This record gives sequence, structure tokens and C-alpha cells, in this order.
Amino acid sequence: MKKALRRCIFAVSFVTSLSATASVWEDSETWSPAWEQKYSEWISQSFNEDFFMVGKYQGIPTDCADAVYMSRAIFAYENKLPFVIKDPTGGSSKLTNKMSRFDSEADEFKRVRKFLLFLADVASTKSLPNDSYPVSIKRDYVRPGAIWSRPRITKDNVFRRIFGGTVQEDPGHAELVKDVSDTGAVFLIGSTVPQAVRKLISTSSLVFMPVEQSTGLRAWMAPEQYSLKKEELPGYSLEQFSMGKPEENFSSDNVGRNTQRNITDWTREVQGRLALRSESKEENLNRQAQNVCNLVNARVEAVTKGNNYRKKLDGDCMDRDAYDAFSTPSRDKRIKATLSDMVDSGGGFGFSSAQRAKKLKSYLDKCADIEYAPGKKISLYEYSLKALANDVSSNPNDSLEARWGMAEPGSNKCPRYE
Amino acid sequence: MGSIAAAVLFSRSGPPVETSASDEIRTAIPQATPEQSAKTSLAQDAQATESSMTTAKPSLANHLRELGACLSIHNTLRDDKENNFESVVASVRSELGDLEADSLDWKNTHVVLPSGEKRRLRLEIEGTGEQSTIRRLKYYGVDADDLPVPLPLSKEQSINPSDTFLASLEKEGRITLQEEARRGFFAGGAEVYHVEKDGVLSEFEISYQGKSFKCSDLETSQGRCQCF
Repeated sequence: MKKALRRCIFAVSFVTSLSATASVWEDSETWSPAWEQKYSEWISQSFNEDFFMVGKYQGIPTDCADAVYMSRAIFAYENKLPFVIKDPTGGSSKLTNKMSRFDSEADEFKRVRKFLLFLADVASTKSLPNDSYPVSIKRDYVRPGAIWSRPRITKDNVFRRIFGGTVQEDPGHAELVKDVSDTGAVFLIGSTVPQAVRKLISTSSLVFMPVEQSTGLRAWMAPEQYSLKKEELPGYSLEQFSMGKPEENFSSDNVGRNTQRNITDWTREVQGRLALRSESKEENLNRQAQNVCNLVNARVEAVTKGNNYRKKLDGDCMDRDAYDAFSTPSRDKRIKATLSDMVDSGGGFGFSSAQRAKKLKSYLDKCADIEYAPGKKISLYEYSLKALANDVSSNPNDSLEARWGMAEPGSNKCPRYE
Repeated sequence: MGSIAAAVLFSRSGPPVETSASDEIRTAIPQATPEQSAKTSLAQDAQATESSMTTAKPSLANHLRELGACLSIHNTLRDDKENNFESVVASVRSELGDLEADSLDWKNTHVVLPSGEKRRLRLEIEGTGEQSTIRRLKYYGVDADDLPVPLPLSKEQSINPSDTFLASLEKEGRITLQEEARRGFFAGGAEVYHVEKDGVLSEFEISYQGKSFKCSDLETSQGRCQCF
């Protein structure tokens, strides 16, 4: 009996040792059009702003690329699907859920969290082109879960031409399509830099026009697709990189007219191709107002961080690096541009944009007041008037109140690096 | 270098060995033995050599002709053009102007140490704010599955590392792979992105006045270009 028990114990130990080389999670399903549809539905319904703030994935820090990659990995894990990406460090192996790296962690979910952090370490916006491909602008492919990405932009580029100014360098960015309305409006969700535990940000404007093949609206590559040419993949298309030219007509007035691609026509064309019906003016204004609401709320974190750093300096000026890190000119220009569009399409009469914006009060008031500091709030309408009147400061050396247009910019003699 | 000493070294046998106190304790993982690593590296080198001997040298000249047609420019053409980015720049200079900016986007470097262990350096331009970027260095060991294992660096070594420090890491062993992506623009406004692998142009994309021309896999006989 004792011998039999010893043999049994030995057998169990032997079998256990064989299974010690475990995957992060075991996959028993295979990616298919049905699973891609489920992923899309999950992004739409479950991958919400508080995804990394509450629930089982709370506390995981993200930047923009992290949130994009993690959404795919998490869905794969929760549905026993494989997760595969190309190794961004140039290795020939793929990074997959079958890695035995985290074997010492017996708890599967803890292994998954470690895997997600490893993923955040190695992957970035620069590796996304390896794991995705550009798609046709159709609702079959531009749907929740599709990727929206752009590369780092250097001086004298599209971003500067859109917003003017002297943007020297604009980091790369990536988000996910969260929803596509029946009017063709594309809603996005994503994180931002620097990497931090934060609420994801929702917006509804595609603020750049894709130029390089590695950017734009993209679909994920399934594991078995890495051995195929991208041109063979479902929905592959380069059409988005040639869209956005002004509509042609044969009027003699068009002689000498600029026929180059531009973001206004590009955005309009994308929305037109995705729309099932026209967007009414009312719907457009409500959507734009919601967009501004989200953008201004997202601004709170950025301005707060800058203000906290400013207070630590105790009167000293920020150096160039800190100024660049904490200033918000791009964000503020985007907010103002969105407001200007609203004013142009739905504003009232007045000499200034701020005066004309008064007609938009009912739309802007639908946004809850923005708490820009503990106990301090500003209505979106009030903020919008200040933004349109250029009373909002992007300068991180200015006081918190000045950053929100509640006070004049201070008399600080600090250099501006814009 | 002190912090590099803090990195986990992969010994010839047995589990990884901590060389100094570090908060970044890495999980012991199966390692390729130095003999296995050396064999793999030599096999890869042999394969690459064989490939280059049997594959015809790619011609950039044809692609430069396609580039001109795509972007509607009269770029200069010479059939003996070397397959490198300088040749592309020289070809388009008369139409697109000088290359005014050409900055690093990302870079991978693989190093095999004298012990046979492998290291990887990944240098990326990373956004830290709306207008701010840094050069971020990540340093990796390599496990038995040829996958990167993060190794700790100090903040000073990781963020905007000096060229001296980068060179010191590269000089620790034999470089077996270098791939580098750069991004910039020409004086005439055209934007350009290109990738070189081991000094050979692999990929480039030029966008100009609403048109783009992209070439891929130029270091192979399957090199091809698209106009869009």
C-alpha cells in the first residue's frame, strides 16, 4: 500500500512538473469573422472610460498604445482566444499568450496582468503598423475595435497646417473606434501620454488626415494572417490615403484651384461613406458639444499636473522640457477649433465668435460643470466663451485660474517656448 | 554601467544570477545556453550569407523611375545607384529640395556578448506631453524562445541616453542586427519616412502634394513599391 501511494504521489508530481511550463492563458478558440464581430461589440459595450479605473483591470497604467493593445489582449484572454503580435525588438518570434515567461505565477489572472505590463513595455504606436493593416472605409471594417493611429509628426506637417502655430513635434497617437453612428460619425476612445492610471478619453473628431500607409483606420491582424500579404487580408485598402480631394466639377472657376487633399474634405468623405443617413444640424451640434465636453474634462488632468509642478517650483520658471511637458497648446487649439466649427454652423449673430456662441448655450449646458480643482467648477458654456475669446491660457507657468480663463495671465516673466 | 551591473546575467547553467541589489528582480526563465545562442547566431549568419549570394542585387533605379511618375516630379535617375537612402535623397533633390529634417523614430540593435548571451537595445522617440518627446532606451536580454526580457536601466540611462552610453552597450559584444527608422521632410514640404536594416535601405515612403509613394522589402528581391 505504501509503495502504491508513493508511486501515486510520484506520478502526480511528475504530471504536475510537466504542466509547469504554462501559457499566460490557454486558447481554445480561433479568431474568425464571428469573433471579430464579438470583439467589436465588446469594445462598443464594455470597453468604457472607466475600464482601467474600476473592476478587475483597475490600476493598470496606460498610454495611448497600451490601451489599444491591451483591449485586444484582454478580450482574447477573456474569450480563450490567442493573442499574437510581432516582436517590436526585432526578434523573429512572436509575442503570444503562449509565453511561459510568467510560469512562476500560479494564478492565471495575475499572469495576465504581468503579461499586460510586459506588453506595455515592448509595444508602442510604432509597433502598431506591424500588427494591423489599413482598411476600406466601410462600416464592415470601420467599426468598434478598429484602430485609429498616426505617427509622430515633426515640424511643418499636417498638424501644423491644420492648427497653425509652431508645433515643433507632435508625438504619435493611437485610439480605438468606439462607435460609428448611423450618421457616419466616428467616435473614438483611448488613453494619452504620459503613461498613467486614468480614465479613457472619448472624442468624436478625426483631427488628422492619414498620409502614410502605416497610419489611419486599421484592422487588427489575426494570428494566422502574419504569414499572408497584407493585400490579401479582409478589407485591406489604401483608399483612405487618396480620399479628401475637393469635389471635382468642370466649372471654369476651378482653374488654378487647389485640388490637394485636405482634412475638411477627408473627414466629410469618411462620414459620407459610413453614413446610413444624413446628420441633422441638431445632431451635429449635440455631437460637437459632447466632443468639447469630453475634451475639456480630459484637460483637467493635464492642467492639474502642470499646476502641481508649477507650485513645487515656488516661483521659479519651468525649463523648456517641463514647459513642453505641461503646456496644452494643441489640446486648447483643438477645443477652440471644435467650438469655432460649432459657431460657424449653429451660432447666432455677433461681431465675435464668443458673441455668436451664445446661441449654443443649450447644447453646451448639457455637459456637467467641469471640476477643474477640488471644489472649483466652471460650466462648459462659460469655459467655451473664454476659450473663443482667447482668455484661456496654455502656458503652464500661469496660475490655475488663468489656465481656466478665470483670471488674467500672471505677470510672470517666464519664457514661452511655443 | 553600475546599473548595468545590476542587470540579471544569464549564467552558463542554472537560473539567472543577480549581480547587485535591484528593485527590478526579473523572474527566472528558461535561458538558451550560450552554446545554443552561438549556434543559432551562426546559423542565422550562414542563412543570410547564402540568401545574399543566391538573390540578385535589388535595383533602386527602377523604383526611382516609379517614384517620379507617382509624385509627378522629374527626379534624376542613374542605374548604378546604391541601394541606400542617400541615393533617394540625391535623386529627388532637384525637385523636392534638400532634406531639412531627418530624425530618429526608432532603432533596434541586437548584440551577442562574448559569453554567447544576447542583448537587444530598442531606442524610440516617445511622447511625454503635447509637444514634448524624449528618446527612450529599453534594454533586453533574450530568453530561450528568442523573446525579449526587460533589463533594468536607471532613469538617466533610459531617458535621453547619451551616445556614449549607447555605444558602450553596443561595444559589449558583436552586433548581429541593426534596423533604424527615421522621419523627416524636404525643403519643398514633402514628408519622408525610411527604414534601414544593417545599413541597407529596406523601406521608404515619400508623401508630396497629396500623393504618396511607398517601397518595401528593398533589401530583398521581393522589393516593391506602391503609389497612392
